[in-house]
Amino acid sequence: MCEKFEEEILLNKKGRKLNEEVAEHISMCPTCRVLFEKNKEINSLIEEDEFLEVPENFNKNVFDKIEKLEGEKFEIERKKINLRLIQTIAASIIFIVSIFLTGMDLNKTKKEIPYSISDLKQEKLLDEMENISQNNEVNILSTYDKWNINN
Amino acid sequence: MIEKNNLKDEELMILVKEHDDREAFEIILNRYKKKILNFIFRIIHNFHVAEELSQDVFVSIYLKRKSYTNSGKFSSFVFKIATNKTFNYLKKGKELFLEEKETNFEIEKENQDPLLKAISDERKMIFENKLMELSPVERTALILYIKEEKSYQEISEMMNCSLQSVKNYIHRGKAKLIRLIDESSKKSTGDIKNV
Ligand SMILES: [Zn+2]
Repeated sequence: MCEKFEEEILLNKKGRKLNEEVAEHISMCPTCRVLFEKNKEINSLIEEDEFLEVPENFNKNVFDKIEKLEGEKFEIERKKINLRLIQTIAASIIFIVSIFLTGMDLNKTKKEIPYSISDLKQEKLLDEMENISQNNEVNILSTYDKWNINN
Repeated sequence: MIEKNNLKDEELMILVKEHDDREAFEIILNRYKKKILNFIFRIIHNFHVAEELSQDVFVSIYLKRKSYTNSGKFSSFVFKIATNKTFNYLKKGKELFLEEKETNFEIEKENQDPLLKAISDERKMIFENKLMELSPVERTALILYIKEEKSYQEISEMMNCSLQSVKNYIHRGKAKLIRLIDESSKKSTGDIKNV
C-alpha cells in the first residue's frame, strides 16, 4: 500500500506541497514518515552550496578561447572573401580575353569572305535551282527513253 | 551611463547580442561560472575536464550570441548548454547511462586537485561519493531538480528527454541514494559494534 506514495514522497522538494492524501498517509504511517525524512535529508545535501572555487584565470581562459575562435572565424570569412574576389577577377579576365579573341576571329572571317550571309543564301539557292533543273532534265530524258522503249 | 551590474541576466545578454558588449558578458560570466563549474564537476567528477567544459559553456554563449532569443529563464539557457556539453563529453566515453563502479573521490582529492581539498566536510564528501554511484543522467536530473530548482519541463528540455524520463531519473536516483546511504550507515554501525 505504501508503494503508491513512494514516488510522490521522493519527488518532493522544498517549496513543493505534498498532496493531501500523501500528507495524511505520512502522518499515520511510520515507514513513509521515515522515507519522507530521508528524502528531506538527501535534498538538503544536494542543495548545499557549491564547494569548488573557480580558478583565478578562468575568465582570461574564456576570453582567450573566444579570441582564438573568433580569430579563426574571421580568418575563414576573410579567406572566403578573398577566394570570391579571386574568382570574380579570374572570371572577368576570362570573359575579357574571350571577347577579345572572338572579336579577332570575326574580323578575320569578315576579311576572307567578301559577301554577306544573304549572299551565301542566294548562292545556295542558285545551286539548288541548278540541281533541280539538271535532275529534271535527266528525269525528262529517262521518261522519254522509257516511252521510246515501250513503243 | 547605465550601471550594468544592476541589470538582469536577460538584459545583459541583449547587450552582448546587439553590441558585442564584453563588459556585460563578463558580468554574466561572473554570475554563473561557479554554479556551472560545480554543476559539471558533480556530474563528471574530474576537475580539469569540468573546468574546460565550463569555460566552453561561456565561449559558446558568446560565440552564438547573435542567435540568442529571450525566451524562458536565462539560467535555464545556461544550464541547457552546460548539460549539452557535459553529455557530449560523456557520450564520447559512452558513460552517460552507466553507473560508476568504484568511487575514488578521496584519491583524486589527494592526488591532483588542491581545490578539492576545499571539501573539508566528511559527511559531504561521503555523500558526493554516493552521488557518483548513480548514472550521470540520474545525477544531472537530481541536481537540476533540487539544487537548481528547475521544473520537470525545463529539465526535459535541457536533457532532451520526456517528462516521464525526468521523473523516473529523479525517483530512481533518490531511491538508490537512500539505499546506498542506509547500507553505508549499517556498515559503519556494524564496524563500531565489531570494535
Ligand atoms: Zn506508508
